[in-house]
Amino acid sequence: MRPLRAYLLRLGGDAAVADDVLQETYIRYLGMEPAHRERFPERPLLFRIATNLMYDHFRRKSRDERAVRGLWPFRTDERPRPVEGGDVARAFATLTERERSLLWLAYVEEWRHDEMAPCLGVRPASVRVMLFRAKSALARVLRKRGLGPKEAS
Amino acid sequence: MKECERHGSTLAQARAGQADAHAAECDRCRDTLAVVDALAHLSADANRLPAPAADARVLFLRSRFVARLQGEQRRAERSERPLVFARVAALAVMAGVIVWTLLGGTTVEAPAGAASSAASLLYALSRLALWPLVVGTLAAVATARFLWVED
Repeated sequence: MRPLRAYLLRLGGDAAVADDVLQETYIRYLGMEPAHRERFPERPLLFRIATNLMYDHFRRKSRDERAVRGLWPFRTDERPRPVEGGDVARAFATLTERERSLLWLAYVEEWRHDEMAPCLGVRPASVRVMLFRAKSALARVLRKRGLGPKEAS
Repeated sequence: MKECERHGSTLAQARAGQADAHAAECDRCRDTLAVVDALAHLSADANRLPAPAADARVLFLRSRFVARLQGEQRRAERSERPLVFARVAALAVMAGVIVWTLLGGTTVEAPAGAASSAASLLYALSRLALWPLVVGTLAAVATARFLWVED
């Protein structure tokens, strides 16, 4: 559970959202037909459900924000949202959701490309290219903020 | 769009916390090192957070145990069905025979206008079998309704 929670926390940048999604993930997982559930390994399936739920959350949030912006006649506050954690967490939060998922699954969970593909809903061949771009983007942000390998501790 | 040829070894050394001389010269491997370090820091930081109030893992294991028990029970019930059905049908036929006997059975005599003794025997046999057959069929249908249809 802890690795999944850490993944959701870094993907969403918010502990409350991560806990909500974590709970919903387990509810969905346990609600699945046992025969269907046992066809897949537990860990990748949980990560897949959690990723989809987190993407749903992002989509819902951006839809709500657009709707509110349309109704509100004054200029809205467009400062970046607060992210839990230090400078590295803030640097990581500047990436897109998919880039964050890719990097986390590849470098923290140490999944292979063919394991990551179904979780993210992309072809295995695309994972290599997308991962390279995500890695370059994060390295660029870290360099820009003076957070090299030594400074990241 | 391609990783350095030594990406694998750089990654392994970074995860092992060993210095890699090649990474100092290669931009891509330097990026890899920076990303591995940053993510290791984020992962350690996230794992330091207190656990949620309810331990989902315990709940999960408990519910999985209950689900397995339910599955086994369902399988056992399913495998017993033909036996239950046969038992109920046999009991119903027996009950039919007893009721039929208590009611006095059938008088073996030809119906009015029967042509031969063969016809009267057939008539008697059909009367004999009627009660148990009707009761047995009804019981079998009722049993099948509860055993299979509600599944």
